[in-house]
This record gives sequence, structure tokens and C-alpha cells, in this order.
Amino acid sequence: MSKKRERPAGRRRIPPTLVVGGTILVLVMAFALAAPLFGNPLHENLTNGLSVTGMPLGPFSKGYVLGTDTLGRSMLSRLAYGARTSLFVAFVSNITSIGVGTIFGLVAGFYRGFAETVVMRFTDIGLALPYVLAALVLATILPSGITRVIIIITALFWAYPARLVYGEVLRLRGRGFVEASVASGASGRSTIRSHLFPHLMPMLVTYSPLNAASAIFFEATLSYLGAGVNPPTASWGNMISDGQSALSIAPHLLYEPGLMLLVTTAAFLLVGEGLKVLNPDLTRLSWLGA
Amino acid sequence: MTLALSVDGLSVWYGEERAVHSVALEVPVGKVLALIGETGSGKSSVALAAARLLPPRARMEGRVLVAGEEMSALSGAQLRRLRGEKVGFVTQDALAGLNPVMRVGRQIAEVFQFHRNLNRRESAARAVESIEQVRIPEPAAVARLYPHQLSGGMRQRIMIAIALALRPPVVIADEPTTALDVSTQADILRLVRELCAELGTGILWITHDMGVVAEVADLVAVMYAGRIVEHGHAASVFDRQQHPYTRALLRTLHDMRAGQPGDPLFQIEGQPPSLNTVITGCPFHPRCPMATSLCATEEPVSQRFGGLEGTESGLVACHHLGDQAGAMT
Amino acid sequence: MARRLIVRLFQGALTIFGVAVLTFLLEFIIPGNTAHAIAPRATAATLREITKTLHLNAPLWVQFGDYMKGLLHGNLGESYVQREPVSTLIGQRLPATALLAGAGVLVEVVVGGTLGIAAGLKRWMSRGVNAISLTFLSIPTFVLGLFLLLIFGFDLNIAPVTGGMSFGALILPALTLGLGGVPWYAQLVRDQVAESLSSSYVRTAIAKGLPDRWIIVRHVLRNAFSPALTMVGMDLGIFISGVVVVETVFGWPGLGQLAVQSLDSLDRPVVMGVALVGATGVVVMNIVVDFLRMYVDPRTKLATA
Repeated sequence: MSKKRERPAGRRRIPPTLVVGGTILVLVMAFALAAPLFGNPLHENLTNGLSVTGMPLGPFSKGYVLGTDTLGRSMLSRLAYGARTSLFVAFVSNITSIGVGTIFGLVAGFYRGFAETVVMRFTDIGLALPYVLAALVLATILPSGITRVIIIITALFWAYPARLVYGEVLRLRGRGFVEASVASGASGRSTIRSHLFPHLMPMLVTYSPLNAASAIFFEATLSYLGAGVNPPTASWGNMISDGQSALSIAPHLLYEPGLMLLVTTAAFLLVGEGLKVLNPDLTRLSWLGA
Repeated sequence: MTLALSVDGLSVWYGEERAVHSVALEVPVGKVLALIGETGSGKSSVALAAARLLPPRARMEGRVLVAGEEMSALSGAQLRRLRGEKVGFVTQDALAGLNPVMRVGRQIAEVFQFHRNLNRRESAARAVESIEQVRIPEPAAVARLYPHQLSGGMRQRIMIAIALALRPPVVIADEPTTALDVSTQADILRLVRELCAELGTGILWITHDMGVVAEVADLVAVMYAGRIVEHGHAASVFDRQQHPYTRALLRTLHDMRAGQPGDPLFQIEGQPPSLNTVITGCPFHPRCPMATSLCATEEPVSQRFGGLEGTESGLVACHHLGDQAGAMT
Repeated sequence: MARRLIVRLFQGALTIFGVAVLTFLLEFIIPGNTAHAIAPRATAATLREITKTLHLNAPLWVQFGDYMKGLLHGNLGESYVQREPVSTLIGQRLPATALLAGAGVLVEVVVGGTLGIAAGLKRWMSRGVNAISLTFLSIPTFVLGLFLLLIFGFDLNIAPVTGGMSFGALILPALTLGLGGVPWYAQLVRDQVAESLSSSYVRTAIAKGLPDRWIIVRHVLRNAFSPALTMVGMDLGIFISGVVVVETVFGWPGLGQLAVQSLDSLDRPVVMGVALVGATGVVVMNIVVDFLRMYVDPRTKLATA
């Protein structure tokens, strides 16, 4: 009996997944911020940075804790700058893609009619696109650089939040929120701002770490394929691509950036799971797909 | 009087919480026993325990005899052999109770395939016969339909056809008409009465609806807080209204049927106890108009009334059995 | 049934048309001088010649008409670099991609399904599946591919390392492609199995006295199958992306590799052509999945009737 009583209060406790994920994220961020401390990521030390046979140095070599890459550059430094790239892309494209998706979802769900048909049809197309192929197409047109990656991710990632927001707006409409506000004389915009948007926030906050994880993934994949951040700017994806040729001799060129990717994405996913626990209403927002 | 089903000393626990307190029931061959009670009274647990269908987290104690054979001690293959063969089971919501992606004919045919070792074609033919038996026109066409293509009444008939497929001596029905509208409910009640008499099946019918009891039951058992408070022939239970709780239930039914619009409906004061409350004395005493200090301290034992045999007999668990004849009318 | 097929085909055609419009716009409007892109080092006279033969000066809608007419005849334009019709290049690579994709789906459905069923039936397996899911969800496809290549190809030396098509060479790419999708299927199937096991119809089946194995196969799994199939359909866009990446990692001579190589040489028509074919593949497969689902789950028929 008493045990049961305690449970609702216990639910307020911060879930362990959130603690673990959040801690890892803070560490990765600190690593990215501290990047200049680890040296110049572009310094090609062809004399001391490579072995006598001209191969990359392994981890724990003299002067290079995490070894060097094929051009004798410090892996530690490049990993740190790669973290900057990943987190920057995740942060900016998260805002842009969720922002665009939210606007489209709100417009479709609120104004209905023709706007709804057009937007949702585009959303369907957006969800049906083979992401990487579409990204390659866009990459042939846009000038290379980190902005290109953000534009591509935004162009491809807005559809899913748009669908989520649209569904949520329809659900809120069904509960009479909108009609009540409009009937009391509020304008469409103020209804959206003061009645719909606050109710969308928990859902968007829960979705954003998952979106960020996908964005980090996608940036790495694009950079690996040569359609993202191009060398010499460091990105975990293009570091792996660079190291691929020396893979069998210097596996740390794969393991180190690969591990960073795994840990960072897992941290975002854990945070997402944790936020989901805090929002029990949102359990249907499974990241298994809509 | 031969018994189709006999339950003795049946108790059910869900973890620490005890839902059923040593219940005893007897269903004679070809008769319908209605087990009536409010939500949470433990009546569904009795049904599931008698059919040996309790969820894994539940624990049961006591004896269940089906046509003289003990079901409660069996497990594994022996139990599987008796299921369907000796006991049929009908769920409340036939839409949920039937597999949505399997044709209804096939769902009946399965039973013949396993218990009678028939091949697919023979068992399909037997399934059509079973559908015909529950008075569905064009049984062969219906057999090829999926559950969602049938009406609620038809689906419940299919459930009954599954339960009766092997002509088991006992069918246990857990509120089979609750999800149906009133006229369909009447059809199903009539069908069950007819089949019961025709096949000599004993039925344990779980319900919370006194109206249904009046229509269908030969015998009635009234459940409250996991205990049977009154058990006897329908006629005697209805006429004599020995237990105060039975009387209250019948009063609500009477008010609904005969009352004028606008009349306040009779309500039983208070709430039934939840599973984890510790009960001392008679479980009904906090809500009973006749309760005395004795009721609060000592749990009443069942007493027989109206002689040992015949339609006037029954069992009642109440300290004030003697006083009530006078208190009535 | 026929009406639904027509509706779906029409919707699919509309989607492909939309994608074609997008690729046309991207190809002909945004990038500037097409003639220059075709022949970067040509003289002014040659450029004029190219502009004339390809009607590059014609109004936009005429060009669009030509483009669409070409598409209807299977003409996807000509590669800037290889001087061959894009359709020919794609035709050469399509079988390899189809083989890889088929093998990948097989891996993801078989491994994911098996894990999901095990986790649904046995509670303690569920935690294991969660851990496996988190791991595989956190590894990008290309990293997983390279890990597998490093372990099985170089360290253990049991799989071929270099590209090319053979049964042995198919194993690692198919595994990489499939394992990426395993968590999704494992979780979906687990939830479906768990839901089905606690359902009323399974209780009915138990009450019939059917053997457990039969109940699991005929009642539980059949009900889990339809949602899994739906996911195959929804997943196609992501899946095809995986194909592109895996082909690049393993040097599998399919459409994805063609597209990535063409990106390097800025051979735009080829990239566009592959994207258009990919989108068409997604749309067509979605229709196929839709109809398969109607066969597996009779309720879906009613939903749209």
C-alpha cells in the first residue's frame, strides 16, 4: 500500500539514462571546447609524426597520445576539432530542421484545406526520399563546406518533425483548444503562439536529441562519402574516410573517430530516452518511426 | 444430480493480494449457473481459475472437477488435452477474443485438427457444422470471413461455436453479452439456453447484470469481495432474497425496470472493498443496513436453508438469516 | 482491390513526377551554364553547338517537356564523363544493387525478427535486445561496415577485402546493411509479440487446447507479421541510403557506388538518374508492400474500401 503511494513521487526522479547521457554529452562538449589546447589539427608533421616507413603512429606514441593520421597530424587534436564539427552541425541543423518542420506542421494542421494537402503531400515525398541519394544530388549543386551539410540536413530532416507536429496539432484541435481560442476572438497567429505552441514544446524537446543523433550520423556519413565537410577541416566522418586506405596497418584511424561517433550518438539517444521517461504522455513518440 | 463442474475451496492470489477466498460452486449437467458480482468482486478470477486460464503471475489453490475429472492438478500436455474437450471458454469481447488475421472457420477447425486428428478438409467441414449449430445462416460462407467482417452478435456466436465445438460438458462464459446491444443480447441468451438443454452442457456464466441472470440462470451464486455470499436455485434466490447484498442488487434491477422516469435510482451506499484491504467479520458489514457488532467481528459461515434438496434450497452466509424472513415483505 | 491498385499507382506516379520535377529544376536552373559543365574546356563555337543540339536556349517549359518525354522513353540523359547514356550505366549496375538489397533485407528481417521473437517470449532477453539496439543504433553504417571489414577481412582473414561480386563478397556487405536495421525490427517484433501474447485471442487459443508451438506460429507470429511488413515499406528510404553507403565501403559495383563516384567527378546527370531510379524503387516497393500487407492482414482491406 505505502509502496504504491510513493511511486508517483518517485517518477519525478531524474532517470539514470538522462544522467549518463547528459554526463557524456558534457564531456564531449568540454573536449570540443578545449580543442585548441591539443595543438594544431592541420599541422602535418611528416618527420616526427610518421614512422620510419612513413606510416601513421599508433596510440601512446611519443608526443601523440592517440597517434597520428596518414599525414602525420595529431589524432587527438583532429578528434577534438571533429567534435566541434559534429556538435555544431547537430546544434544548428537541429534548430533549422525542427524549426522548418514545426512551421510546416503548424500551417498544415492549423489552416487545413489546400495548405494541408500541399504540405502533407510534400512531407510524404520527403519521407519517401532515399536520404543519401537526395543528399548526393544536393551536394553536386551546393558549394562544399559546413553550410552545405546544414542545408542538406535541413532539407531532408524537416519532414519527420512536420508530420509529428501536424499529428499533434490535429490531436489538440480534437480536444477543442483551437476552436475555443478562435471563438473567443483571438487571431490565428496568437492562437498558434499562445495555445498550440506551448503544448508542442514537450514533444519537440523530447524529439530534438533523437534528431541531433540522426544529424551527427548523417554529417559523418556525408563527410565519409565526400558530400559533407571536406578535408582539411576535421570531421569524424572524413577522418575515417582518410584513414580507410591504411586501415589494416593503423586501425586506430577507424577505432578512434568510430568510438567518438558511437559514444556521442549513444549519449544523445540516452538523453532522448530519459526525456521520454519524464514525459509519460509521450511514450507513443517511439523513435521506431511514426 | 450429476455435476458438470464442481469447484471447491478455490482461492486466487495476484502477488500478495487475494482476489478469491475459498469459493465453492456446483454446476449440474445441462444447467446454467450465473455467478454475479460487481466489478472487482473476483468473479472473473473464478471463471479463469475454473478454466485454468489464469495469467502466469496469479496463484490458485483448491479443487476443480470437470465431469468428475480433476483439472486443478494437471499441467502441460494433460491439461491441453482436456482444454476444449472438457471445458469451453467464451470471452467478453469476441472481437478481441478472435484472432483478427485468421478466417473464423479456420479458428474453429483448429480445434478438430488437434483433438480429433482430422485433416484440414475434414476439420473445415466440421467447423461449418459448428457454425450451423449456433444458428448462423449460410455457415459455409461465414466460415470464410474474418472476425472484423462479422457483426458483434455473429462474432459472439462464433466464440460459442468454438467453445461448443467438441461438445464439452462445461462451458465457462466470462460476461459474454456485456459488449452487445440489448436485442442481440436476448438472441444470444436464448441460443445459449437452447444449446445448453440440447447438448446437456453445464454453463458457468459470469455477469454483473441481474437482468441477464433472470433470463438465463437455473442457479445463482452471488459474489462479494472474493467470497460467495449466496448460492442457490434462481427461483429461491430471487424469491426469498436471503442475503442483504442480494436484496440490494435486486432492488437496483427492480428500480431500473419498474421505476418511473425521474425517480431516484436505488444505490448501495459506499464502495466494495479493494483487494488489499484487510477484512474482519462479514465483508459486507460496512455497507449493510442490518449490520450488528457481531457482523464486524466474526465472518459468517454458509448456512443451508429451505431443506437439503429441491428448488427451494440454497446456501447463505449471513448472521441474520433467521431475522430476515420477518424483516422481508 | 483493382480500384485500390489504380489509386496507389496514381499516387505513386504523382510522387515520382514530383521527384522528377525537383531533379529537373535542380539540374537545369540552379547550376548555371550546362554546356560549360558538359565540355569544360571546349571553345565558344563548340559550346554554342552543344547549346543548340540540346535546346538549352529553349524556354523552360519546352526543356521540361523534352526532359519528361525523355524520361518516359527511359532516357535519363548522358553522362558528362563517360559519354554514355545514364540509363545504360544504371542498367549495368542495377542487378548488383538489387542482389545486395535483397540479401540485406533478408538479414535484417531474419536476425531482427528472431531477436524480437526471443525477447517477446522471454522477458530476460528483452534487456539484451535493448543493449544490442542501442549499440547498433549508435554506429553509423559505414563505421559498422569498416569494423566488420577490419575484423573479418583483415584480422581473421575469412572474408574477401577487395570489391567485386561473388557470394563470398556479398556476406559482409549484406551483414552490414542488415545489422543496421536489426534494432528496429527487433524492438517492433518484440513489442508485437508481447502484446499478442497478452491478448484475448491467444487466451482463446490456449482454451482450445492447442500446443504452444502452434499458438506462437499461427496466432502470435502471424499477428506480428503485418506491422513488420509495414515497417519494411516505411523503412525503404533509409534502407536505400544504407545500400549507397555499404556499396562505397565494400566497393560493391552497384548504383550507390556509381552515384558516389559520379559525385567526385561532378557528373550530375548520373547522380540525378540514380536518385530518380532510387525514388522510383522506393515508390514501387511501397506499393508492393502495401498489397502484400493486404494479403497478410485482412483488416487493411476494409480500412481503405
